Amino acid sequence: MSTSSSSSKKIVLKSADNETFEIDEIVALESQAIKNMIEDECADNVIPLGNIDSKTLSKIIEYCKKHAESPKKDDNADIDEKAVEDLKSFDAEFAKVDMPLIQDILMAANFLNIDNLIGLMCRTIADRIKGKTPEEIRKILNINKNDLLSPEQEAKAREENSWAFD
Amino acid sequence: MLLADIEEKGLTLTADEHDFLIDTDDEGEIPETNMVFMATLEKDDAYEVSVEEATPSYNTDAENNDAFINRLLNGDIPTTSQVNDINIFSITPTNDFESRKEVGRTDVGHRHRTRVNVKGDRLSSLPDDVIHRILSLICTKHAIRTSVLSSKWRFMWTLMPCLDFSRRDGLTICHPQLSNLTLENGDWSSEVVNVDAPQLKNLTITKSYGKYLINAPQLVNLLFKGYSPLLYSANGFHFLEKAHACIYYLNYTYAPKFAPSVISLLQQLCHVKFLTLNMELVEVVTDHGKQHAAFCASEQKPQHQSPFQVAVHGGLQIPHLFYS
Repeated sequence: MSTSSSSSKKIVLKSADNETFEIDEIVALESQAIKNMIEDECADNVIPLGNIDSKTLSKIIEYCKKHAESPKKDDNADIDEKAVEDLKSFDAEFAKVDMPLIQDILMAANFLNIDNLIGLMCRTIADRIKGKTPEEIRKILNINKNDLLSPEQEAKAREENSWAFD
Repeated sequence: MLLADIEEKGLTLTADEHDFLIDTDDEGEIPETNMVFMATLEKDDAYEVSVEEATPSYNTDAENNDAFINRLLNGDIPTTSQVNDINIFSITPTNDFESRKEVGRTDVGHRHRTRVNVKGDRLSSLPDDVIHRILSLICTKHAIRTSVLSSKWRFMWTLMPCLDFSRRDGLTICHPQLSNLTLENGDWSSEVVNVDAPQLKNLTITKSYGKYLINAPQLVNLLFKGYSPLLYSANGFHFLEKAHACIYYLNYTYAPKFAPSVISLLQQLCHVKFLTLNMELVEVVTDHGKQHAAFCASEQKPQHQSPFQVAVHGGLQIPHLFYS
């Protein structure tokens, strides 16, 4: 599908740090939350997103643009393989960012209800913590040192399911 | 200027969604909650960076306050400030997150601005279903390992809707909140599978070869399919509504060996309201019943009154019994 940028309807998103992003409606519709807002006609000229900063929002828009341009899987059974591969490699590149940003994107994608993106971020996080020791995972996820279990609690947790720690 | 200092140290600044400002009026009421993103230091060692130079500008002088608030509103403040009530604290960044420095009170007209920082890794503040989505992408064993990450992660894995165990030498599932459990392809022939789940409502065991010791007093639905009838309850199944038991290849070679177990299994299901058994199971009981009757007759002893003496009495004692 082609998106003629001049004629199509525009949606303006405003990030927490007051940066505005004008995007095609078709791109915004990737977000189920925004789609609902538009359908219920409660989206004014500008949609304020008070919990998403501009860095995160621009990444999300990048993702939505790409996915809005690509043919949908359920549109047509015989969509061309190349488009699928292209989207896959885009996703792989897209996920190559640092963990704080991945968490930001995941939070925002969850808020905006963009299921594909939530899935992509979940897979990315799972891949990064897979097979890692608890110590490594704490570092990767930036777990607050105040939340750590006491040595006794940790020993108990390990004992409860000792087979999982073999 | 301050940002530049931080950048010079090679650190990145990003917003933290746990930081937000709450406006309060003189009575301490909250007229509006205003989510404002604050810049915090993001890297592992972020809290070790000293930003003490920042504190002198946060005095109570009105003009500076306005500037300060503007900076807050712009997310342009490179400290992990934390405010209690109407006082602004600047956490002097340290490892323990605790050492605070009071830097003043801000008034914006009749309002006081309060900054709240919700601590913790941000992942665990996500809704459960998102966490489950992540955990379900790593194997159950590794998901369980997350229980030692932190207090927030302690029981996170136990909320997963689906657990997948693949282990060949016995297993204990000890789980206070579990409500549904499915054990498939359990070839635990040499050891016992212990399930201790006080809240368990639905238990499905399929293609089983093993022995099961179940402590699930709240069990409502049981589906048990396998090649040996070795399922024992620790405290009975008093709330069982539906039970479906199919034991395969219980031909006559195995029948004498398994007959007591089959009867024991059926006795444990005595509180059930709807029971489905496969024909082979019934045949074992029948055959055993006949032998038992013959034995009792030959010994001139009174018969043991099992609720499942199907064959002997030619009738069933349990309502709603179906053969499959």
